[in-house]
Amino acid sequence: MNNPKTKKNLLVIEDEADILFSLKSYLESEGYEVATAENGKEGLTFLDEHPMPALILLDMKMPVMNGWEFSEAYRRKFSLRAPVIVMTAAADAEARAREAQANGWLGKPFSLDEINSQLQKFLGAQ
Amino acid sequence: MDHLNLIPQLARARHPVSQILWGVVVSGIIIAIESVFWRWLAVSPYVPMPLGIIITSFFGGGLWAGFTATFILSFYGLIFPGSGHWFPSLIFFITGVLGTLLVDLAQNKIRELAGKEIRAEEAERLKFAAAAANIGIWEWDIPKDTLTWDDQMLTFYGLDRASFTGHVDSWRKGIHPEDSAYSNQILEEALYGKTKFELEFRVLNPSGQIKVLKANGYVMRDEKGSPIKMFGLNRDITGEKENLKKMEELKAYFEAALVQSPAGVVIGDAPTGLLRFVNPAALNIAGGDEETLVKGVDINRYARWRITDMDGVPIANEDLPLAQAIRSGETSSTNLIFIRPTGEKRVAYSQTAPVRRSDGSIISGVTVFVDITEQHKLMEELSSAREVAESAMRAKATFLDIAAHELRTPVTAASLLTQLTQRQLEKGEALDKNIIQRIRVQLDRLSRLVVDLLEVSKLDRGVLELRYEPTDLRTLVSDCSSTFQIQFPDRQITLHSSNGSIELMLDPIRIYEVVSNLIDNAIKYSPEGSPIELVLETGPESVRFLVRDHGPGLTEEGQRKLFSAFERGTTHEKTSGLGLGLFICRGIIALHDGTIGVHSAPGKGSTFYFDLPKKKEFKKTGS
Repeated sequence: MNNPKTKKNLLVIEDEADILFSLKSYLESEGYEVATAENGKEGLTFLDEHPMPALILLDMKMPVMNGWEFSEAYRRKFSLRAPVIVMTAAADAEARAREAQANGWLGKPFSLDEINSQLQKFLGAQ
Repeated sequence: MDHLNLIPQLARARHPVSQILWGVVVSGIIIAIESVFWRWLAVSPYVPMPLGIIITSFFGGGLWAGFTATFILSFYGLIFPGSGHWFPSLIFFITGVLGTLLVDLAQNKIRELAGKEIRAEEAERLKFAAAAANIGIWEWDIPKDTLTWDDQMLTFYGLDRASFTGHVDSWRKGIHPEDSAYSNQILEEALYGKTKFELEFRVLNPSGQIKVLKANGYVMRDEKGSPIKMFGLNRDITGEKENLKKMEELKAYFEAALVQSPAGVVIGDAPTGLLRFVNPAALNIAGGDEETLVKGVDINRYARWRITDMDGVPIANEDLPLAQAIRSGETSSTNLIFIRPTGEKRVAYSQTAPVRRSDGSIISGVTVFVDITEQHKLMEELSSAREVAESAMRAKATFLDIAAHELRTPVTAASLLTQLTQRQLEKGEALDKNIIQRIRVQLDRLSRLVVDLLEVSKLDRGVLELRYEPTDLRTLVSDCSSTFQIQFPDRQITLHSSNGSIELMLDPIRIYEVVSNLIDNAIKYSPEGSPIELVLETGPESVRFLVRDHGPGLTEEGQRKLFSAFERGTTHEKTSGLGLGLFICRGIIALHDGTIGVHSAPGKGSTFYFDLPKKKEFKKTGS
């Protein structure tokens, strides 16, 4: 339903397969180009090999490299950065987002509408 | 007084012979009476003359007295060795006595003239001094026995001029009977020996009043050493004596309080730090007696006390609070450990302060000790209990954090999958069976977590109920093993067990849960493809089930934490959940009166086991 040329790229970093699947399916249906990574390290590798996406959705608690470690490396390595929205199951999601110096946050469980409003806030209507 | 003891009597013969008033010859011994002290005098003719002179002179009686007495007696012995010739002896005796009397009279005259000069100077001075100091002044002419007292003296003795005899007997009569013998002795010693004398004695006045007097006297002698005059002072020291007594009472009062104080008290002198006072309570804290702890240490008597700070570091003598208080005036309070000679340790709370004179200079230091060993022990126990409680609280908080995450994750996944399906249906797309399956898996996961949480909660509150029934443990383990083998076909799961059934009273559902949990852990925490061994052993009183894996093994710290609630031995990529499995297993086995444990070492794999007793009676609920 969208023009392929105007599709915005998103990177979703999440270890839980079902959540990753849901996000990818939904976001693609909303007209985004979605790349996925199962942990922070894969996310960094993707960013090394691809152009900077329009936005990054980041899970915090992950094996191999968690959200905090990813954020630190991301901020160190890249000067031109996409906004980061963290997705966390922690009780105080906002505090975790601040720790990771993220631009926005989604507290698990969240709805698809909440994702949509966050994306619109940073990217405008798709 | 022993009249027949010759030598003391010769000693008495020191006084002038003129004082011999009367004498008789009894069995060859001449007995005489002298007038100064009205005592017997006995000398023997059998003592040769030269020896008599020497003895008599030696005791201070004067050459003339010794010569005269011995000359007479010796002649009597030489001429009339047998007794009974009384006439010649009487003549010689009388001649001797009269001759000596004449000489003595002449001497007295000389002394009198000399004495007047002395009196004029000395007595005047004494009178002025006495008047100024409110003291009594006296003077005694010995040969004449004339005693002179001023008004103050009369007041001291409770006499008036009329009742004062003017002889030395006035003094004698005034002395308290208990002090009489002693006072007379001092006076005699002064007369025949010393020049000065000092005497403290009580007087008993005619009115019954008792006074304590201090007498100082001076004896004047002639050129032959015979006393001719005494003069001196009396001072009323009744008040001083009473004050002294009060002071002593006061000292005893405070000393008793310090000695019997329940707190240990140690007082050290400034600036030496030498211990002046250590009370029994202080010795009791340090252990041992005064002899072993205090005596015989020169510079600092703390030397034998072993004192450390609360960390057990020995404190040098000069760094002890008492030494610091004396040295720098510091006031301090601190806890110290005393190590008794037996090695026992006592903890004492000490407060130390310098003791200052009114001008601010430090006179001593005082430390007060209270034995707080028991309280300290209690506090340590409380403190460690609090640490355990705080650690448990931290573990619970961490657990809640994990639980929140672990519960939210499947909820998030299920929720997102459901919303996705909803949207697909709204768009008229076909229902995706795969997504429904995913939702179910997430909900199952959520369900297991909730069940685990409920079980932990029940175990924690002791309300987990068991349903016992006779069960064959071998069949139970075998069934469980088969289930896992089907689920994990690439793992070799073998069961080693004797043939036949192992009948036990147990809750089969709960024990299955434990067996399943142990096998599940072994599979999760060991390399893919590695074998898992199950063993059932029957002992005389119990049955053991064990699971052996070839995983990374566990450190001791890891093993210790393993069976606690809210702790996971290791984080593993493949694992999720709350780490409650082993905690629940332990609770279930404990309810069966069994034990659960692990043998493991890093790199050596792990063997988890539980033992169940063979007896039939079991608890119904946990505690």
